[in-house]
Amino acid sequence: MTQATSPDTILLNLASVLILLCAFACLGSKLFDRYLGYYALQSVLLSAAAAIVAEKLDSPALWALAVLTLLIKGLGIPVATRRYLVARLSLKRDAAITLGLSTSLIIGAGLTALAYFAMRPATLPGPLLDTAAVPLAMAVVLLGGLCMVVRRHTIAQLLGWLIVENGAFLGAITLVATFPFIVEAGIFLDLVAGVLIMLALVSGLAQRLASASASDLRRLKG
Amino acid sequence: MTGVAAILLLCAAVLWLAAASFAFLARTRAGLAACAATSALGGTAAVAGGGIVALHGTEASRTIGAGNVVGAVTLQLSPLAAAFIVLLGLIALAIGLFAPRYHRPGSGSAFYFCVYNVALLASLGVLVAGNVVVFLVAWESMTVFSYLLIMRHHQWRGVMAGGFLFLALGEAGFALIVAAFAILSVKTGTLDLAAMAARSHAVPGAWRSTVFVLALIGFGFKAGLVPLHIWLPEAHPVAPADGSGFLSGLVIKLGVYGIMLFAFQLLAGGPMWWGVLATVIGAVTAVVGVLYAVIEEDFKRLLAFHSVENIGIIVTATGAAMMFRAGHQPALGAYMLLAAIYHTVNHGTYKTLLFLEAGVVEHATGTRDLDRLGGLARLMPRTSVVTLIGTLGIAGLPPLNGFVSEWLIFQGLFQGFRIQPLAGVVLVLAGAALALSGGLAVMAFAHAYGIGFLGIPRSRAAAQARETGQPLAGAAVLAGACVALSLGAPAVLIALGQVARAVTGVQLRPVLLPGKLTIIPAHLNFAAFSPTYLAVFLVGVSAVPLLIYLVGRGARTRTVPVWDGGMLRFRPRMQYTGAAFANPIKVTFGRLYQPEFHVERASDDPAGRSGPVRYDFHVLPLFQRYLYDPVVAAVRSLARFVRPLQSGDVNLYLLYIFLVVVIAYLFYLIQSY
Amino acid sequence: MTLTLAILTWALPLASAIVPWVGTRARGTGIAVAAGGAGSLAAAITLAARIVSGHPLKLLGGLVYVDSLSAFFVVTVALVVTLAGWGSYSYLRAEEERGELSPLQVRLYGTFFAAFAALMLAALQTGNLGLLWVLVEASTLASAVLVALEARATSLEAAWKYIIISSFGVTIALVGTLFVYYSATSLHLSPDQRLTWPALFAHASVLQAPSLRLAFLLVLIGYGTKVGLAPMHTWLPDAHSEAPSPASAMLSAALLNTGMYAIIRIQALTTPELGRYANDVLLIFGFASVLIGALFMIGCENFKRLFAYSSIEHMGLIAVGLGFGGVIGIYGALLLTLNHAIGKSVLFLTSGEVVLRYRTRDASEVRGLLQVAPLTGLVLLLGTLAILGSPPFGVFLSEFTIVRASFAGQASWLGFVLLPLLVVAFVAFARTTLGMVFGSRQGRAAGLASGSPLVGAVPLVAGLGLLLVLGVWIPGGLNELILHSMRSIT
Repeated sequence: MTQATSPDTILLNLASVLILLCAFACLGSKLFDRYLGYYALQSVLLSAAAAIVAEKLDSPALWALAVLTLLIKGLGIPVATRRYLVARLSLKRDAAITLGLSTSLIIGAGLTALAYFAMRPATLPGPLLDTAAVPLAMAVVLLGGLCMVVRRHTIAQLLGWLIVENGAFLGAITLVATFPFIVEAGIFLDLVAGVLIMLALVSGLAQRLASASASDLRRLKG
Repeated sequence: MTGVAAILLLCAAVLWLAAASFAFLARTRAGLAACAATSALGGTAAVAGGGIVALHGTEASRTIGAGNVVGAVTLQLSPLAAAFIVLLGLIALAIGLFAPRYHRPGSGSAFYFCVYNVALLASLGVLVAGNVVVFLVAWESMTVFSYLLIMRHHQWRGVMAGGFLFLALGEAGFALIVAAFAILSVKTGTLDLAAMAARSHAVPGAWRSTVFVLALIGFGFKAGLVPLHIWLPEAHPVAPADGSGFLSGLVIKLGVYGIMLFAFQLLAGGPMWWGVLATVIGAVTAVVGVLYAVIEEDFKRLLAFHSVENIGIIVTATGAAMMFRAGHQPALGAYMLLAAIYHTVNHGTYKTLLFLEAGVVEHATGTRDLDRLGGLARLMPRTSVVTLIGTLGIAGLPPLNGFVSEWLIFQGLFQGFRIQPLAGVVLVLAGAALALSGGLAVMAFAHAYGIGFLGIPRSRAAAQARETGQPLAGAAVLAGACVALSLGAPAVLIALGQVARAVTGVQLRPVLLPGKLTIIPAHLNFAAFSPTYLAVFLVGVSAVPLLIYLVGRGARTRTVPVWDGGMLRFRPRMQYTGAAFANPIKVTFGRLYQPEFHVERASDDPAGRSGPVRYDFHVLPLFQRYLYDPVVAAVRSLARFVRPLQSGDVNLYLLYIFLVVVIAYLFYLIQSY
Repeated sequence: MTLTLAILTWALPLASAIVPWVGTRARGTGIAVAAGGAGSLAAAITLAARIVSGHPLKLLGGLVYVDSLSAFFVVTVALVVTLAGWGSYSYLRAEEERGELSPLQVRLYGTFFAAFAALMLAALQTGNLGLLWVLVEASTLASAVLVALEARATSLEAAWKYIIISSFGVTIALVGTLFVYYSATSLHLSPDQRLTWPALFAHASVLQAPSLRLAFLLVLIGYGTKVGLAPMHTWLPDAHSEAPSPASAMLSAALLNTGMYAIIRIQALTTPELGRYANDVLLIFGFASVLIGALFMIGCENFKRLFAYSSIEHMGLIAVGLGFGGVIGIYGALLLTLNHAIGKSVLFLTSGEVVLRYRTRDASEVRGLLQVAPLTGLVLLLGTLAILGSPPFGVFLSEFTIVRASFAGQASWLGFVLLPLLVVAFVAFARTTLGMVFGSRQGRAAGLASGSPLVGAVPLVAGLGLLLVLGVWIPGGLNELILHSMRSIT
C-alpha cells in the first residue's frame, strides 16, 4: 500500500482522530442539540474519510458511499431526529445519565486505550489501508456502546447505536477498503429502516407512557 | 420356540395398542368391557410369551431397519426380562378382568384406558429393548403415561401433588439412568445392549463403578429405595385402584429389573463392595419401609410403604447375589438371584391384589381410613376372603407364596459365612434386619386386616358397604396365582432356575430340588423345606377340629348367650383402634418418627368421663425435611438470587452485552501477547 | 429448477404481503399468510431433496448459495412459518371479532409477518456474509413491528428493548464479519468473492488466525444476541411474551434458528485454523444459557415468558451440542434445532389459544384447562412433555444425543453439570404448565371460544403428531439431509 506518511494517510488519520473526538463529545454532551450536532459532524467527517479512500483507490462505489453518508447520516438523520424531537417530544435536554460525566469520560479513555492495544499492528498482520486509524475505529465502536449504556433517553440510545455503526463503517474503510457495494447499500437501508422504526416506537412510547426515558420502561421484569 | 415367543409378545403389543386406540369406546359399558377384555387378552399373550422365553432360556435379538447416529430399533428376548414379562402379563390380565367392576363408563375412563394400555406397551418395550435408545424411550414413556394414570381424578385433593412428585422424582431418576447408559455406551462404543455387555469388562474400573452407582440410584428412584421412595406414599393413594396396582405391582419392579440388568448383564462381575452397597441399602429400605407402614392409618398408604419394604427385601437379595458371586460362590449367587426374582413375582401378585381390593373397599365405603372401617368381613364376604389370601401372602405366613420366597432369601442370607468374614457379617446383619421387617410386616397386616375387616363397622360409611355384584374374576386370578406360586413352588423353581442359569451360567437344579418336592438352599445339609408337604400337613391338621365337629354334631347342644361382662350390646368404640394397636411401635421407634402428639380433652375428669377426646399424631417427614426440602430451598434461593439480573432496566441489559464485548477485546489482547 | 424452488421459498410468503392491502380483512390476510407458508414449505422440501441428491446451488458469485445445511434450515423455518401462518388465521379472526385489532393493525401484521418470513428464508440462502448480516438485521426490524403490534404499553416497551438490544448486538456481528473479511485479505480473490462463504470455506486453513479469533468472538456475541445466548438474552423474555402468539412462535422457533445458522457458518470457517477454540467458546455461552434458562424458569408466573426461557435453554443446548462437536454432537444439535422449532411453535400457538380464552398471561389465573378446553389442555400437556425432552417425542432423542456427546469428549464432567440443569428446567416448567392443565376450573375462566376452534386445532395436532413421529423414527430423508449438512461444514 502507500507509505505511512503520504498526505492521504495523514488526512485519513486526522479525520479518524476527529471522529473519535466527536464520539467523546457525544458521550459528554448533555444537551440533545449538541449531541445531534456532534453526531452530524462525525458523519460529515466520516464521509470525508470515505472520499479520501475513494480517491486513493479510485473506486466509484466508495464515492457513492461517501455521498450517501453525507446525505443520510450527515444531514437526513440529524435533521429528521431534531425535528421529531422538537415537534413530538419537545425537549431539549437529556439529563438522565447513569454515570457521572467525568466517570464516563474516564471509562471512554480506558476503552480507547484498550482498542489501541488490541488493534496493534502485530495483531493485524495483513495489509491495511491505514494502520493508525483502525484502533480509532474500534474505539468509536466501543464509545458508541458506552453511550448506549449510560444514556437513559431512548433517542439517545438510538444515537449511540448510530455512532457504533459509524465506527463499524470507519473500520470497514480502514481495514478492507469496503464491503461489496450491495452489502453496503443493504447496510444503509437497514440503518434508515431501523431509525424510522425506532422513531415510530419512541413516538408510541411517548403517547402511551408520556415519557421516552428508559428509566420508565420497567414494567417487564423477571 | 423363539419365533413362537416373539409372535406371542408381538400379539400382546398389538392387543394393547388396539386397546389404547379404541379406548374411546369405553364411554359405554359394553365398550369398556371390550377394551378391558382386549387388555386382558394381551396380558395372557404376554404371560405365554414370557413363559416360553423363561423356560427355554433363549436369548435372541433383532434389529428393525437401519440404525443411525441416534440409535437403532433393536429388540431382544432375554430370560431375565422374561420373568418380568410374565409378571406384567399376569397383572395386565388381572386388571383387565377387574376393570369393569370398578370403572364407570365415560370419557374420563376412556382417557384412562388409553393411557393405561400405552403404559403397558411401554413397560413391555422396556423389557424387550435391545438398544439403549429403545430402552430409554420406553422407560420414560412408561413414567409419563403412569403419571397420566395417576392423574385420573385430578380434581380431587392431593392428586396433583402426588402425581407431580412421581413425575419429578421419575425425571431425576431418569437423568441418572441416562447418565449411566450414556457413559457406558460411550466407553464401550456401542448402543446395543448385547454388545455393551460383551465389551464392558474392558472399561476401566472407576467408570464401571460410577455407572453402577448411577444406575443403582437412578433405578432406585423408580423402585423406591430409601431415601428415594417419598413419591410412593403420595402417589399410590391418589391413583385409581388398578392404577395403584399397576404401579406397585409392576412399575417399581421395573426399577428392580434395571438394577439387575446393570448388575448381572451389563456390568457383570463387579467388586464385592457393589453387592455390599446394594445389600445395605436394601436392608435399610426394608426396615424403614415397614416401620412407616406399621403406623399408617390410611390403607393405601400402608400398602405403599409396605411395597417399599418388599423392594428392600428384593434389593437385599440382589445385593447378596452380587456378593456371593464376587466371593466365589456362584451357586449361591445364582440362588439368591432366583430368590429375588421369585419374591418379585410373588410381591407383584399379592400387592396388586391388595391394591385392587383396597380400591373396592374405598369405593364401597368412601374412605381409606382404617379407623373408620371394620366389619367388612360380614358385609363384603367375597372381597374379604380374597383380601385374606393376599394378606397371608404378603405377611409371609405359610403356606402361601410370600413365605416360600422369604424362606429362600433367609436361607441364602444365613449362609453368609461361606464368603469372607467381613462381607459375611454384612449378610448376617441384613438377615437380621429382614427378620425384623418380616415380623413388623406381620404386625402391619394384622393391623390392616384386623382393624379394617374384622369386628364391627366403626362408622356409618363402613356399615353401608356392600359388594358391587360384579364378578371377582381379576382378584380371583391373582389369588389363584398366589396359591399356585406356593403349592407349585417346585415347578416355579425349575422355571426360574432356567432363568438363573441363562443369566449366571450356573445350573441350580441339583442343589435346589434334589427330590421332586423338597427345596434346599443351594447347599446340602443346610436346610430343607417342602411347601407341598407343608400345605398338606396344614390342611390335614385343620381337618382335625372339623372332624371333631362333624362327629360331635349329633350330641345335644344347649344355646345360651355368652357372658360378656354385662354389656347391653357391642359398640364400635369398644374395639381396638388402629392408633392403639400401633402404639408400642410408635413409642419404641420414637426417635425415628419424631412424632408430634396433640391431645384435646373436653374436660380433665380423671375418672374418664371427660367427653370426647381428640388425638392427633403426626410423624416427622424425615426425608422430606432433611434431604429434599434443603435441596429445593437451595435451588429456589439460587433462582431468587439471579432474578435481579432481569430487572427491567434496558441500560443494564445493554451493559451485559457491552461488558462481554469488552471482555472479548481484552481476551483477544491477552492472547496476542 | 432448483433456483426457482429456492426463490419460491421466500417469494411466496413475500407475495402474501400484498394481500392485506388489496382490501381483504382478517380472514383474507390469515388465509394468505397460511397459504404462503404452506407453499414455501412445499418448495423447501423439494429443494432439500434436490440439493441432497445433487450439488449445492451457487449463483452470482456466491450471492445465492444453497447447500444441504441451508436446505435443512430452510425446511425448518418454512415449517415454522406454515404452523405460525395457520395460527395467524385464528388469531387475526378472533382479535378482529373482538375489536382488539384495528384494520390497520391487521394489515401491518400481514405485511410484516410476510416480510419477516421472506427475509429469514432469504438470509438462509445467501452465501455472502455481508448480505446475510443485512437480511438478519432487516428481519429483526420487521419482527420488532410485530412485537409492538398490539400497542399496549408493555408491547411497546418490549419492542423497544428488543430493537435496541438486538441492533446493538447485530452491529457487533457486523464488526465481526468485517474481521472475517479482513482475515481473508491475503487470499487472491476478488473483493466480492472474499466475503462469500464457499470461497472462504475452501481456503479456511489459510485464513489469518489472530483476526479470525476476534472475528469469531464478535460474531458469536453479535449473532448470539439474536439467538438468545446468555448474557445477551435479556430482550428475549420480554419480546416473546408480548408479541402476538403466532409471531412469538416465529421469533422463538425461526429467528433464533436463523441466528444459529449464521454462527454455525462462521464456526465452520474457524475449525481448520483454530481447532477447538470456537468449540470451547460455544460451550461457555451454551452452558451459561442453559443455566440462565433453567434458573429463571423457577417461579415464573407468566407462561409465555416461561416458554421464552425454555427457548433460551434449548438454544443453549444446541450451542452445547455444537461445542462438544463430533458426529454425535453436531447431529444432536441439528436434530434439536428441528424438534425444538416444531415443539416451540406448537406451545406458542397453544398459548395463543389460552390467552384468547382467559385474557391473561398469568399462569396462576389459568386452571383446569382440560375441562374448559379439552383439546387445548391436552395439547398443552403433551406439548409441555414434548418440549421438556420427554419420550416418546422428538426432543428427547436430540437431547440424549447431545448428552452422549457430552460424555464422549475429554471433559466428561460437563455431562454431570448438564443433566441436573435439565432436571431443574423440567421440574420448574412442568410445575407451572401442569398446574394450568389439571385441576378444576377456576372462577374467572371460559370467556368466548376462539374464532374457529377446529381450524385452530389443525397446526397444533399436526405439530404434535410430527414430533411424535420424530420421537420414534427418523425418516431416511431427514437423516440424509442432516448427514449431508454435517459433511458440508466439516
